[in-house]
Amino acid sequence: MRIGGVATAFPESRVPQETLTAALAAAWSDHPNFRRVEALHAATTVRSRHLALPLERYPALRDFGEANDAWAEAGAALGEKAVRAALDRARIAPDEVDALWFTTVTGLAVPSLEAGVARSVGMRPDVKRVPLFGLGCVAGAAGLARASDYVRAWPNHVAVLLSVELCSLTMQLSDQSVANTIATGLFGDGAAAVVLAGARRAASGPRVVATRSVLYPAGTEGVMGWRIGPHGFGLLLTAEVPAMVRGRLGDDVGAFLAAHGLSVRDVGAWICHPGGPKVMDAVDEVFGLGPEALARSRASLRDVGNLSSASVLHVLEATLDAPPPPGGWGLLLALGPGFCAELVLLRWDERK
Amino acid sequence: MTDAEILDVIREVARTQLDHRGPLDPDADLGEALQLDSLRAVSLLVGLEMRFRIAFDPDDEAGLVRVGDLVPVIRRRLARG
Repeated sequence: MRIGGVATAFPESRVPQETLTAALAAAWSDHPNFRRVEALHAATTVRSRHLALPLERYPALRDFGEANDAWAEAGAALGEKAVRAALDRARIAPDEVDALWFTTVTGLAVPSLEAGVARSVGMRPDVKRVPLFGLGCVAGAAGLARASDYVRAWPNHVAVLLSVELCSLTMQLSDQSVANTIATGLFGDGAAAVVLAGARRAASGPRVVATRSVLYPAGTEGVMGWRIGPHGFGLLLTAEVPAMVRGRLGDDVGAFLAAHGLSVRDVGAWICHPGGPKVMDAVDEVFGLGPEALARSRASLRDVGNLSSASVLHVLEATLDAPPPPGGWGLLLALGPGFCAELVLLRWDERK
Repeated sequence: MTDAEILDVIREVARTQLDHRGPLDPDADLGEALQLDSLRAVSLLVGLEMRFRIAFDPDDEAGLVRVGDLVPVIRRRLARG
């Protein structure tokens, strides 16, 4: 099976980081030391982010319900745009899609959001829908892996993964904790879609060679996640993510690659979820990577912020535009709540 | 506010912000006692700033070694108003 096409879609509103920090200063005029907020925002390395709504509308969102309504409306439009663009790139018509996987962790809808997207883009009524919620940042990689499992079983089929993450609509303006302050500086809005074609379907992208899920032992549940409360999604975030990379991910990646006769040196394209600068520094360190290896991940974080599950697909899109040499291997990886990791091994064709 | 009262508030902030259980001796090493990494250190300082409605200077933070070192710094900032 192969990746047929990847596309991202962003809201029109793109705001420089300084403007967002200044807006927060106005909302948090009672903060005793706003210098810390500025320092935490600067440390994210994010320079701009897209917002689902115009900046001035956020203070008017009175509760979780209103934020979630805005998520459903903006998310459906953005999801449709991403799916249409990915299908165009894959040269696959909407009515050829057999399964639609959908992931988000920034809003709730029943029926789930992809039902409307399937109808509006013109998918068949028998399209199989698989909404995923709760995987967080890992879901771009995990959704791609599960959709590839599907087309492995059904080699004549086409699956689409859609990720819609409107992180700005989860923002908790009443929470001045350090974790939430980092969140207000780190996360952005965007959507991404990937088309996966079974082995008997024509597609030009890299092959999905193998995938591996890693669920870490009990005691790691609190490393990151949401705490759901009356105001919606409250961020759980610890500084343990880089430590998990240093302590665990190196061995997990090594074992996964070794199972396919490969080592870290064989990986020509690193497609790493850009969780934050310290996580990427840890990945660089553990695998002994040069500055170019994660350049696309760092550029994604800089330009659009952390898009949760959509981020790794944004990096994948950039990688497909400038792939490694023919025959090259790619490793797509992400970490997320659980705590867990998902690894996807890709290979581009040899020159014919 | 007495030094003992300031220390009690430091313990309260350590409990609420860092989930620190058990005693907190003023002579204990601050980093070790509270298992401070970069995020936890900032969380402690922000928690104290919020609770006391003060703002530490970078110089204040440079001199912190033991838990009790926080007390005179907070007293000075409270006096500055």
